[in-house]
Amino acid sequence: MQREEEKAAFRDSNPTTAFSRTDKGIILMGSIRSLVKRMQDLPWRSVAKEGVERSFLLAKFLCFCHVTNNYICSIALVCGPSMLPTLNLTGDLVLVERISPRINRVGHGDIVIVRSPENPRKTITKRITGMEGDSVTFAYDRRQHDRWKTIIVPKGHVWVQGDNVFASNDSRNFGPVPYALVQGKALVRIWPPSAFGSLGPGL
Amino acid sequence: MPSPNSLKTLKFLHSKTQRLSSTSPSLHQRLLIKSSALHQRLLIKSSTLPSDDHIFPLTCITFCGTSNMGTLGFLWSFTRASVTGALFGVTISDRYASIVPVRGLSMYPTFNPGRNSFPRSLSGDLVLVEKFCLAKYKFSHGDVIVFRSPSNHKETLVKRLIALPGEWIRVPESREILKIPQGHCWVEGDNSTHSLDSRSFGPIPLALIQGRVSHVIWPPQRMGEVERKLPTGRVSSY
Repeated sequence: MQREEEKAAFRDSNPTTAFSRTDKGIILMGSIRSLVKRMQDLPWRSVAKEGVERSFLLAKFLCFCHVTNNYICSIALVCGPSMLPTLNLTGDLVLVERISPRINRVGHGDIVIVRSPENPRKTITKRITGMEGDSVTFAYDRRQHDRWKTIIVPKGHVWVQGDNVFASNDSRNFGPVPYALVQGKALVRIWPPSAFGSLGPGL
Repeated sequence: MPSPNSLKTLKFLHSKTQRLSSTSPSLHQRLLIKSSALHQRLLIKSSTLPSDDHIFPLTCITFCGTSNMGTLGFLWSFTRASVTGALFGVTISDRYASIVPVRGLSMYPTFNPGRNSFPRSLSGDLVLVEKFCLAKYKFSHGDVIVFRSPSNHKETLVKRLIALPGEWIRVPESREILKIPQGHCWVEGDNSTHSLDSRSFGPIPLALIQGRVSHVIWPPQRMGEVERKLPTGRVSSY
């Protein structure tokens, strides 16, 4: 009798530790209800607003990256044998600036990034060896070096060649390239750091 | 010394803001403003005294003076908005779609009909150019494309794509048959008498293409999709 009273007093003092089945159900319902209430209390409007603001910021950042990459400067990985004495076979990181082709500041001896006329999804790195109106003489056949050919670069075109004459697919194969395909001028080699330095006009 | 009461309030606010910062941003902000105002008052009080060990590392919102910063602030927000708009505009027109005016008579039945009497008229049709085709350089015969002129990089031309790489085309004037080299295409205007196209400068590299004309937008009575047309019997794939 006394124990029953004690039990009842205990139940009254901490109601959550009283475990009958119906009590459990009520507690569960209550917790769900409080959870729902808490969800309703959350400021959904401000959460949504913040989400929109965050995604807008991200979109702005991506746009900024695109504009910088396409109009100011970008970084290109150059690999392949065609520019061998100047750029390594294994791949150099090169800083490419995009302004000078737009303002006609590309000339003889500049290393340029060109969209390949043979495959529009490929970009090639070559050196300009002739501007429009220049006459260019080149070995017509790779194997027989006595076959020479001279052509005049037509209007609005440039003549590009690799530094490694023996392993380069360039204007000698596909002819002069329209100036509109020149994407940028390689300025500085960034990687490897031991060879860091400007790629000024050579030749 | 500042009163201990205000210090207690500040401490309370501080703990509350930290707890709230994850759950409810707007309330958090309001509390921050409150606490920072209190904090400033405290700072002013304590600056007259040597001891400053009660200054909390609070993330305060800095209040700008609002009286004569008005025009400057407006200018700043205006430039920021316009720069953001320009960034978005340039990106969208580079990557997705843009609207360009078409001048000249080289595409006469498709664009600019009814301007025959004013050949030098500056106003032309406005067309929508979509750039999704540039992702894979997948074009079909008869598409109207926008590309950079191969002889002048500042000029942009609109022509119809006639032949794709690897195909043979019969050139109407010289009656010769030539093969389109790899990565090039053959373009011609619809109005062959007024058009400067591949018949004069030869096949052009696909990389010069800037986009595909999908719709005419202006004038409104001719608004609609641009359809593919192809001269028959001139192109063969072998």
